[in-house]
Amino acid sequence: MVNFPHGFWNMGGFWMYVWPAYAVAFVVMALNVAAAYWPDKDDRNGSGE
Amino acid sequence: MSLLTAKHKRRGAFLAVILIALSAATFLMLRAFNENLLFYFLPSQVKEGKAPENHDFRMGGLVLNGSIKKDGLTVHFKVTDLHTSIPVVYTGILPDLFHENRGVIVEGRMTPSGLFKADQVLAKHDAKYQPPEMTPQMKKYMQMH
Amino acid sequence: MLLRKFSAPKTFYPLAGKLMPWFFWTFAVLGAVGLYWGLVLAPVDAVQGQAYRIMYVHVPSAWMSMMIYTSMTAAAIAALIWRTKVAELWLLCSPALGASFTFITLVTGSLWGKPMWGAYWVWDARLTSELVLLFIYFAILAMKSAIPDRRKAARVMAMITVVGFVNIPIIKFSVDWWTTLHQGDSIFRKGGPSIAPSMLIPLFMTALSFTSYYFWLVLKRIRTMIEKTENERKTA
Repeated sequence: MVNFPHGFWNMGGFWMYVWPAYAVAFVVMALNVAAAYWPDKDDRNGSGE
Repeated sequence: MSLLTAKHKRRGAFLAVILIALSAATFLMLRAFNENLLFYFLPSQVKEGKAPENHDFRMGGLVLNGSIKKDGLTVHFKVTDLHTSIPVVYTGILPDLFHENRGVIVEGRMTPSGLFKADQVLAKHDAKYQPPEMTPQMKKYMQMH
Repeated sequence: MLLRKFSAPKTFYPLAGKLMPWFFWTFAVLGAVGLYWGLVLAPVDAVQGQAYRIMYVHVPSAWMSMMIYTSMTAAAIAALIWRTKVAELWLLCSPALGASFTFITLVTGSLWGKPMWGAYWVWDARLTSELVLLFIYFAILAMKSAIPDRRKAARVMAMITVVGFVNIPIIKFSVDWWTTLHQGDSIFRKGGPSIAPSMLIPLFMTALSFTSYYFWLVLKRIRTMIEKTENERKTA
């Protein structure tokens, strides 16, 4: 691939900064989906937190 | 039922008064703090003595073309705002965006000799996002694939 | 009156149910295409190298953090003046999503700042005002969990929301009003965007994807809350 002379997984700074940034976003967004679809049964106003 | 009865108008007016008062207060506060909200001083302001003398401050501008001299981990360069330029010395690792003719912010203090001793160098991004120009080798590579 | 009809939870509930799949699929499809385009197909940046790819999650999150707050302010005004039930529900269901996007903005921004600026965090006007936004969201959420009665909670949350709105123009224009380390706007600026089209298109895709994600989840949450109110009314 022309964009990644060292290969996609070895691209400079990918593991250090780019990948963690996407991981954080993915986890937070997944937690919000979970909170919306499987809300806590005990919570008072049924909104998930 | 109307959308704007006397009750609604009263609530709306109350809300509007609060909002206007709040915006005015914020505006005045920000104006008062304006100096402190500056993240950095320009070299011209530093020459005019506007920067604090007794403690560390930040100075920002462009790295003067052709002024970078590296000696191991120690680097000498000049920060310019196109009117005035001030020489800077720094020892340490430079950020990826540090380049000649690009924005830079240095944190440290002035020495009596007029040299700025920096403890930290921050590179400023110019808000431009462009792919690199294609080199002849890359063009050849693209044609082959 | 049409407006009054749509603002009743009974009409809003089925409407939200019909819209949700559209928002979900827009989110999923544009998200997948935008990410593949941004992470793999888009060219590397001339100066920043690979690290600029963080922008495809950072910039849309930052837009969302302000967009959600603005929608909450509109809802807050409607809730305070007309006591509109759907506006109250919108206000109750939005702040958790807004806080999440603000958090993502701050974390991804600092992961970009370290290699590019040379620091994870600086106290410049842009970064500080975005952090203040996170605290405002926390204050609104705290009111929600502190006040058991939903309608009373919504009214207090509405007041904080309206007061906190002054921070939004400060975030937006901080890079123009003061000298900041954070760069100025690349997209909404005089003379058009300063981003190459091959990099800009995937950015718009992820931005639209995130917007749809928010609408999808806020509608889901509002529906859950309407169901819960119905159940409470029946059992009471």
